[in-house]
Amino acid sequence: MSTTKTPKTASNAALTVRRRVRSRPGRDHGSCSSPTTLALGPPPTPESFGPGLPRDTPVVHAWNMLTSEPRGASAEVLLARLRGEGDERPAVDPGLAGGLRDWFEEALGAAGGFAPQAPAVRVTKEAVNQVLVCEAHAVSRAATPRAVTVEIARGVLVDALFRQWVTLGSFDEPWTDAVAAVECADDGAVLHSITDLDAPGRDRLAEEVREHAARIASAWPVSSPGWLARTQERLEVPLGGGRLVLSGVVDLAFGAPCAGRASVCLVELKSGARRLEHRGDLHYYALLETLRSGAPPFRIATYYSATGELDAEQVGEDVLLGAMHRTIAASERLCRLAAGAEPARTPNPLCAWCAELARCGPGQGRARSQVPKKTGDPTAGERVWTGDPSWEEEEVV
Amino acid sequence: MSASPGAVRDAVEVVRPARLGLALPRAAALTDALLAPSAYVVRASELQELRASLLRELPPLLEGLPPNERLQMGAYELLVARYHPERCAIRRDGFVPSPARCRRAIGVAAVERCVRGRASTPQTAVAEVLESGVEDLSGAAKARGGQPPPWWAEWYSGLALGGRATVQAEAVTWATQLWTALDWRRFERPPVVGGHDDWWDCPGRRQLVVRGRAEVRAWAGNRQVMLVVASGFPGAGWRPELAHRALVVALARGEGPIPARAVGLWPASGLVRICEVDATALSEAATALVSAVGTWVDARAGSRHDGVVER
Repeated sequence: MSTTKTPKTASNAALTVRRRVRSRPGRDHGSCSSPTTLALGPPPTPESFGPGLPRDTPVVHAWNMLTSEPRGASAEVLLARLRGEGDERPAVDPGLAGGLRDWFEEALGAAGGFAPQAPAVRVTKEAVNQVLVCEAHAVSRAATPRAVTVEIARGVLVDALFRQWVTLGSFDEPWTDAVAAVECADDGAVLHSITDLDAPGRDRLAEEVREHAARIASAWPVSSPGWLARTQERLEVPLGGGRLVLSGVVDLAFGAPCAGRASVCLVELKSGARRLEHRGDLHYYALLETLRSGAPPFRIATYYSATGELDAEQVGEDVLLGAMHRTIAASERLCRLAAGAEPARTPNPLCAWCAELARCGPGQGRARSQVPKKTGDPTAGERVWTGDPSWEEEEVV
Repeated sequence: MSASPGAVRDAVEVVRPARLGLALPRAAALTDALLAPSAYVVRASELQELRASLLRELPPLLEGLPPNERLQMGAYELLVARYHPERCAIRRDGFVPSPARCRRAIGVAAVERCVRGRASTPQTAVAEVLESGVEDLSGAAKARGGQPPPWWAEWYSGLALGGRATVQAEAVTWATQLWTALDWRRFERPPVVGGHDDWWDCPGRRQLVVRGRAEVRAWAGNRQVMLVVASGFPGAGWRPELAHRALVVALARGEGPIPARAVGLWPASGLVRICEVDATALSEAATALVSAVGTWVDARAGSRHDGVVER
């Protein structure tokens, strides 16, 4: 019996990918797979994914891919995990990226996202997170000017130091280096937030930044030129002729471009505490890199400079499809909101800190009844959350 | 420069990545596309007609420009005129270097070192370029009659370590994107990376100079081909924007072969656009140039009275 091979076009690939994912029970577009695996401890059993998921469901077992490094891991161990030593680098399906792109455009086109009169929309990881939590919250955040808190300033400074470490492999005096980097990049908002601090506050921040730098220097390998490291690499994927742009900036990407097998590793640096959204952010970047370069990264990782922990995982089809569902759902909502639709209000644990709270009935109900107040602060429930991530962490993690 | 929301709205056509996008490794496919023989020829008569039409249309436009002003029209000015015309009225109060503004200059010098075999990777090459830039500043180098330091060297040498690291990191990222975009072994003749810009002074009107810049110039047979690296993603006007480079070469040289094609690479989006240079492409570029000059002259004439200055 002879068989005829059909050329694998982008559309074929999209259909194949879609059929595969549709046959899977228990998926929903708003979630990343198994965030509980972030916790240190024994790997979860398949049952822990939820009662609706049969034992033989072909979900990639996240605990095999995602492991957390104990504190103080050496540079060698960290490097081995970034390289995914022991894991074979997967062959790349050359039709995958085109298939995903077609799928995205079809889904959004069907939802009216690319109508001629539809306004252009830029999608970021923050916008995806916010709009999936609550549309009214996303609209309110988009309208609120950027408030640079101490935590955000610390994040920018530590990002600059990480970049310096990857580029030069050394620090002079970390605080001076970090401030010089921010000055050079002309980030006025962050500079003002630092100069506005009183002396003890600035000293505390400087000490904190030095601690992060010491951790990076002790645990992060000095980058070899052969890794082709790119820092703060911008990703912009226009869809629908540019009516929708998926965008992001990856802290570190390394590895030569794909020549048949996945070859790029993406790393995000976090100076704050571990949060649930960090995995979703990484998956979003993996999707962008796939759409941009035609090949998925072989590894994605989040490095926590406060603790020295590294969460690393392989990028399987499951990761990309999860990110795809999530990004399509968020993009549909963002397109609808950009076209002037009334935002839906979804009560959630962040309601107590939302700038929209005063005008949001469902949010007030949620905040008063269920959100725990900050201890020792009787007015906590009435405080307006202006973007300080440390507030979010207390509620979400 | 990224396309603005306005540009995005203009991009009605669904621009697909050239099918290059499906071929892995991309560097080989892109290099082959860049170096492929060209089937398009622009006749001398077509070029003369184009030049004549520019000389008819540009001088009247320039009459509106304040007498002490001069327009320099490069790719950036074309993009601003098309996507952000309101910015044409803003007068910049001097050029201030920054890591983002220096990355191309340092990056092309670094990739050039790699192509010539003087450095093995962009990271090493960028470090060497920066070091040699600072050396060129020194009195000893000047005394030896060495080459003048690059324009960024004085600013860079005054930065603290953190600032220098940021400049280096930006340049390494930029250079690595260019270095990995092409398969350099496929070039039969060594390409020119960076190189000199092309300039065309509008005859009789010294107030207008047009600049063409490409990151890589190579040869497909006896005709030049150009690779242009841009940021963001291609807007609706990518074709005249790419053809602009070939137009400047054609205007500046007067006679002789003009570039066969200009290939645009937008690393942030991974998109590639190929503009085969024919009479239509050059005509579109000329129309875009005239339109951009008109926008800039209008804005400058208006802002003379408004005094809009951005520092």
